[in-house]
Amino acid sequence: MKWILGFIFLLVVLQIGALVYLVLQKNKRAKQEENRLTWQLNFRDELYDFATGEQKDMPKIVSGNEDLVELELFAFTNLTATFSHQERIYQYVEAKLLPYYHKQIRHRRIDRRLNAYEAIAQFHLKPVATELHQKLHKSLSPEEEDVIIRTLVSIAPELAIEEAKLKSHISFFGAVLAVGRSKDLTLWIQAFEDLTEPFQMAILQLIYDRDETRYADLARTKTLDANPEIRKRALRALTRVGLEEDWQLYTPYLEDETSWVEQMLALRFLENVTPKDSVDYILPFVGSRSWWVRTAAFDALLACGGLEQLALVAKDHPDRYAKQKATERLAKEMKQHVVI
Amino acid sequence: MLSSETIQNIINVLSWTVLIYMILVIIFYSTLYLISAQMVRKQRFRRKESSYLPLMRSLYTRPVSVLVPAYNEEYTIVTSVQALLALDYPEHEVIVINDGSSDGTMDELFKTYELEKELRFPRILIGSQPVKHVYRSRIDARLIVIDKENGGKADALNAGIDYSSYPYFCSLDADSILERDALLKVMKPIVESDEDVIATCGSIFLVNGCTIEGGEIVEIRTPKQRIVLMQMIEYFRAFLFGRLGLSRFNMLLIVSGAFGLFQKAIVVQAGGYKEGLVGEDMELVVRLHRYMKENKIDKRIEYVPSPVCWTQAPDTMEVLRSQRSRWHRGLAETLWTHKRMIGNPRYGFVGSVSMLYFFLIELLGPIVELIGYFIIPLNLLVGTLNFEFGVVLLTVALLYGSLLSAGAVLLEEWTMHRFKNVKELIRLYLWSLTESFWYRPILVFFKLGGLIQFMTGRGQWGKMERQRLDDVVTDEVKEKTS
Repeated sequence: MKWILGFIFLLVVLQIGALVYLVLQKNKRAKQEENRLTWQLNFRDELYDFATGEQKDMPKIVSGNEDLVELELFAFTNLTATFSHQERIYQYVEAKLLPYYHKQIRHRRIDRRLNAYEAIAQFHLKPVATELHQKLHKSLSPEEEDVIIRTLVSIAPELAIEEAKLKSHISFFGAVLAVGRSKDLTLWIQAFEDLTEPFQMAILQLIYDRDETRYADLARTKTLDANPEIRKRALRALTRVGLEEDWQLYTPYLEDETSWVEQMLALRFLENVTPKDSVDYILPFVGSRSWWVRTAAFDALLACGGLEQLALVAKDHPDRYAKQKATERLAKEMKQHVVI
Repeated sequence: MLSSETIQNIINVLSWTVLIYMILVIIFYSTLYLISAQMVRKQRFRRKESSYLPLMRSLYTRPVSVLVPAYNEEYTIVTSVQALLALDYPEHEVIVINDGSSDGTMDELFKTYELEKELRFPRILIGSQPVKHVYRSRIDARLIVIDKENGGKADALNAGIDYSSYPYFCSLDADSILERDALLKVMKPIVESDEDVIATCGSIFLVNGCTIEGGEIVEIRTPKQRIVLMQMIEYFRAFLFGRLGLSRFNMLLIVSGAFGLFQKAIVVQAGGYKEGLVGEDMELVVRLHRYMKENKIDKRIEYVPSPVCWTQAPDTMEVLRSQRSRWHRGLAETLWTHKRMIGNPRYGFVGSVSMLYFFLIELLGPIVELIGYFIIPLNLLVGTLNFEFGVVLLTVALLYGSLLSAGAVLLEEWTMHRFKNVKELIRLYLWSLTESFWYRPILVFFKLGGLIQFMTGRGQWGKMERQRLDDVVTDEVKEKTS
């Protein structure tokens, strides 16, 4: 009986305690927010004057308002800053916020640390690069590792590449976001063979996204890679940076129904490179069961044979479904909808 | 006649059952709460915009078809579509499936979006009732309207899947409003996991009491009606710690029909939405889990706590009764359909923990609770229980239930602090403490009604009286002012 009464007492205390906490917190936050907003608006003006060179002195930061400073710096660098403005902002952050970020990256809370890494990357805070690199050798969550590598790409790419040779459990998307921070891929291409699979795939993906024709040779070589994922990414890259003679790299996959990704890529290659007499290669795929292959086939057909070929498929193709799809596509291309 | 000894024995067995059940529930919920609080705490100060901005800018977000089944939704459909077309997302289409409405749903769409017929030949992947016509908006080509014969919500969603163009689809109720970045946030786990996550869902909150402008929520307030207020607290509890905790171990069994994102291919492979059930959303998720386990596919279904979908809650007892009976019947139907998964370790945590939890605590809970309400007075009557002990036991049960609800309000304030006014928050908190004393017992009876409907094979969808979304607000404001 005693322990049940104790439990009831605990429940009541918890309920009252939670209510008091709620009220105090809410009131405290409401009061703080008002003062902080006023300070933030003043700081915004000072920051603008400093960044544009109208004010020589660096704006002062009130302790506890660093998050507001960060918000203003983010907004300024994302929306309005020119190159020279940005340089002044980076100097400002290094002079005024370095100790703050040193503290933040050692914070016990992961959300604080992640915010700090992103700010460090945004404001190019290079002095913390070594410390971040050392952190990667401790036990971290995958999310934190991803963000640190991404940050290192922004402030010390050579250290990030070192890590990219070791980290194989990063997601493809994480690797793309990381490598994508480098405007120039040269350093990554030089280290390509030593990198782990996600980073290799990310580089091939970026060659495609950025239309990097100077790295077409690498893509060509990798179309014969033993790893099917690398091979597919390389074939994908070539659909944009390849030349007409690269068509032979795709032909082995045309007959095999299980290679629908490669088939789709072959069709994308034809769409982008438009070699002569390619319509015959395309026609077998317009009725494919795969939405991806079918869509790519129609795009390729349109690019290589024009509306005329599309009309022929709509009229005469033996596959009823392909005929219907061609009619639909034709209607879309003619910029008018067919009224039943 | 039963001897008094037999009666006492029966009461004893029932009492012990209720007591053990109560302890199990307390342990399970407390664990779930601690796990959720820990997860929420980890992301509490995370700068929201920066964590998904790269996704918004990247080329790797997958295009999404937003499917909106609509049956007699003339009051809400335009506001909903307006909000959906305004979503922040690189590429999406909105497909409204008019499921044979008998009101002015189509007229409203025709009038506002200047629809015109379009010729489309979908490859039928799942199949549905016949589609009469397909329309596309002249004003915004991303809006497609499918006018089909009535076949129920599951059938409408299956038609939407067949006609959708993109590899992901988001199912949404016609009376729901999504926050602008909601789609982006639910897509984040999918992209970041290289599509190891095949379905996601976000939090759903109640629109009653809020101010809407141009299809967007501009002010959040607590609703005036008590039953809506209690439902608001219930939603906090369900989403902020129920689903979050289950999602942590890939045990999520409900991706609400009001807002869920799915990979189309796997849903098609699993057979699409099952018709003839009232809980088609839960059934689909359970079937996806089953399909993945049976085919040894290692994928996840995740809950994302922050994206918010706003929906209307019933504001009369009658509609609430109908809704809750339907939900409970849906739960029973789903568990019955997949009964071999319950407690079956072959299905991993989903079978051995989640299905068992839904069976024992969610489905049978109302029966045990009802027994509990009667067993203590009965024990006192036959003298098998000390009076003080009975009262104390009842108090523990009620206080603990209230504390959980209050905890959910705290979690809301801790994570999202959407309520700007401290008075509103206190009102919400104080009402949450009363939940176990009146609202929960009412729900017990509604749920039992659903269980009876399931067992007798009777029951129907019931009618949800919709209001224009902006009227929901206006009425609330008027009442408050008066």
